[in-house]
Amino acid sequence: MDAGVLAVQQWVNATYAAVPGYTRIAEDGIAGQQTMFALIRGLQHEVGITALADNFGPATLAALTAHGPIGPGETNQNLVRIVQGGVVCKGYASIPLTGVFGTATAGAVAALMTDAGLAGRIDGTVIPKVCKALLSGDGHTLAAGGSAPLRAAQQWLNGRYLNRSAFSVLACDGLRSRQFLTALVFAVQYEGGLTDAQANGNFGPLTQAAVRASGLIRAGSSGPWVRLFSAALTHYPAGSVFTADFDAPLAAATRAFQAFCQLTENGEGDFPTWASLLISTGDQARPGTAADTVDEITTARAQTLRAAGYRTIGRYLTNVEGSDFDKKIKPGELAVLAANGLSLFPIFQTYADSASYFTWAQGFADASAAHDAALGHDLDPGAVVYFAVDYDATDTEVTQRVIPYFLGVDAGLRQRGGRYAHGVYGARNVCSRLAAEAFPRWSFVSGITSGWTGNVTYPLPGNWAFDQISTIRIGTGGGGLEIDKCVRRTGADPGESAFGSPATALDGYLDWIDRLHELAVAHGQGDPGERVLEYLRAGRYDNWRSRKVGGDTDAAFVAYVDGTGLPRVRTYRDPVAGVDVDVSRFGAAALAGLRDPVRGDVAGWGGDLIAFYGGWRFTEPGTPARDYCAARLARGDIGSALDLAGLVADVDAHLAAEALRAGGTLGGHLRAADRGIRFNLFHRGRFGGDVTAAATAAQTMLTDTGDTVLASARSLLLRGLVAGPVTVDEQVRQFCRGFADRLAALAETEQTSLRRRKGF
Amino acid sequence: MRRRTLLASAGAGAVLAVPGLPAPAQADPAQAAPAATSPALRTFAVQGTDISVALLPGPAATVLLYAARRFHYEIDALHPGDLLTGASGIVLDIRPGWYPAGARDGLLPYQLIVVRDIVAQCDGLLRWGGDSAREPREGRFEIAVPPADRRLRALAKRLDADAEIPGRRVGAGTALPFTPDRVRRAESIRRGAAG
Repeated sequence: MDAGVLAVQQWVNATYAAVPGYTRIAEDGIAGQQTMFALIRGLQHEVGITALADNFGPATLAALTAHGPIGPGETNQNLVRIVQGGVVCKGYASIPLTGVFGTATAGAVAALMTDAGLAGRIDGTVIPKVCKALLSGDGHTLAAGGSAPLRAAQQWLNGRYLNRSAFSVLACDGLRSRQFLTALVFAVQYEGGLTDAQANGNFGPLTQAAVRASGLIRAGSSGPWVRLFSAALTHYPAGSVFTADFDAPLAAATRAFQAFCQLTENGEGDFPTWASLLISTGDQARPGTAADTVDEITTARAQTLRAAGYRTIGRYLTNVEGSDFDKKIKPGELAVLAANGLSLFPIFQTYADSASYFTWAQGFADASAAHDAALGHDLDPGAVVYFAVDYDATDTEVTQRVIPYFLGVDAGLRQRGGRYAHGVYGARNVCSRLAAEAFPRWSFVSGITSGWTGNVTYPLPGNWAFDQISTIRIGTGGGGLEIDKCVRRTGADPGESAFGSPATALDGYLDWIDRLHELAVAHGQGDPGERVLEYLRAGRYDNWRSRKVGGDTDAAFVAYVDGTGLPRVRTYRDPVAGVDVDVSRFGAAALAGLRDPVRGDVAGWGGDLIAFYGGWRFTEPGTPARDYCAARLARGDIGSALDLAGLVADVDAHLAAEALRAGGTLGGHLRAADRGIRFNLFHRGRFGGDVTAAATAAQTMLTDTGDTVLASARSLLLRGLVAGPVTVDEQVRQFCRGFADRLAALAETEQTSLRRRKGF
Repeated sequence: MRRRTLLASAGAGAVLAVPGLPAPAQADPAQAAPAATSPALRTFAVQGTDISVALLPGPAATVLLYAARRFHYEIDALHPGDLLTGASGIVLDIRPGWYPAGARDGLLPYQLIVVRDIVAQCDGLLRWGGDSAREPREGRFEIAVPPADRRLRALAKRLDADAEIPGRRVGAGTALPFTPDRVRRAESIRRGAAG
């Protein structure tokens, strides 16, 4: 409650209550939109407008322009009071509404104009566009979370373009907004010589031609184009300065931006770079090496795609039930892709086109369906399936709907043994939010819908792999097809180039580890063992959570290895356990364990046990814990979040981390390891060979609230089930005991076969 | 990326039943929206906004939602409270306080080009309130033919088909309304509506 604001509200109500079209406002002393709207309506009445509106639009601006600036010589005292009401409500002064334009009023207006970047235009009066700003809800001081360079850009734009007809005073709060981006495009149009009638705030053909003709800049350039370029760059982490000079730091920032967006790294403001800064499609004519399509890839079409430079093709795993639209992969089609040197990125989408579709349970069910479909197509383990968010989800919907859905997808894939990884197809904000709050490995960005709320003010997501930029038709006749052209980011998802591949044999796996170790030594950055494990994890388990638990990745080493062309091993056949072990899963757990033994549990057996618990509670809550554990825990024949292959990865990771901490190398340890006694070593090493200790440790994983990393990992794993930590009851105790017993049984089996081996 | 042909976003993608599994905890935002004023109406989410509106299901809803989304993307961002509909479900009022009856020149020229293009892309089957000589309403879009009109059905079918192709979706190609052929077509449809 502010007495000054209350006085404004009382005055505006008293003065205009009888005017047709004026709506009384609450007299509550709280400055807000309603008070500004009332002042705008009052102002419209004063300048002779009869149809009053909340909108300070072109009609109001024209009428006020005809009236002239409001200043010390103003004879209409109510207009002065409206100005005074504006400065009071905006917090620039606490003055009474005298109706006399004195020094206090002039000073407050000057302060606002200074904040808005209009210091050069202060002349002791209020011109119409400043009056509009005065009666707007826009902030002109740096907001919380605002960027100082972005605010400087807002101020500069105001100062330079205020006289252009479509330009209004921008907020100067340092926040990204649609309004700011539109203003930037207007500015580009103005600098490019477009008239007020031609300028429209859209990056269209005329504007693009103008950029090509006069906006191309490089080191040494200076002036307004450099200003606009650096202003646009403030949307990306690389851009941290607003400058008129294309100096070395700006060139470096440009290069970083270009590298991130997969543009030619020349450090210049060339056309594609401008386009990527101003619109989510970027330059739609730039080459793409990936494409998605609903059309079957026949040999003729595969040849068309290959000849046009496409290498990675997005295809649908399934049709939509109840639809006659046939978009799914056809029998034999993947062989055609492989035979023509094309790889596949699989997409799963049924409805997915409105908020109401997305729930945790839907994600869980979709994951299962996608798993079955991918398996049916013989996709290799570790393939990334892209789950679609095929509509313009708002930030609120992402929070309430889309994130739970993707946590459900994660849980559903784990429930099936974690054979496949997942990515997301969606607008930039959807992808970025998920990359920071759920577990998609890669993002497939729908940059093509550049007007979408989820694209327009957001940068490309950090984990982008494909950016869909235009719908085009290529080829003719039987070889013709319609595709969505995508840019594929180098080093990101290479797609599936082979199908039905066997797991690598143990020897081949060990040779690969040795080769990675040699490369890590040659790379010469830090501990080679950590670099190798990071590389393993990067296969499919590198996301924000695994980094939080197991630390960061040296991206340069990953790129270095990829650059050598060394093919990645995804799974190897464990000769003793008789299961195919996910190398990336092992790497993620071993890396975390090497860096911190407690975190190693979270990244390894403990985290998997939590997910396994979730699977039980979600799918078979009525089955007694002991029965569920006996039926599904550490089984080689039934997939689950902690099946035998998963437990082998976790146990081996624990043992490898111990060996590395003791100073060994990964290759040396893995070559020397006796896989016939791994469960014994783990059971003794981690739990002292004590079944009760193992059960207690399991219960700690499910219930401990002391470790925030564990607690937050658990809450995401169990998001669809419980809000807080698990409540201990008899079933939970039985569950933990089930884990301990199963582990003890595996160790016992090893002892038996060991005795048999030794001939006892 | 293609989706199944659907008239509008709300109601599509009903939650698939997962046998024996608990229902998710979150409330459905569509259900939380204000109840429709007439049983014939249904609540639809306006994609890209946190707004729901009650409209007549079928082609009328498809066309009005198209207009609302284009306004949101290409003219001015819409926020909860910005859209009102009447009992008929074939009239959409954008910010009546902002664009009140009788008020003219509330839109900038480039915004007006978009409005004309929206009407033109709807083959003139959508009427813009700013064209009313008697009492203009610049925030109003209204279905200009009976809701069962076969041309309206054909239009809705086309808009749905466009929604299946990323490059033709609402939100893609926002610069197109300003290209000469689109401006010409919009102008000819405007003259047709005026005459």
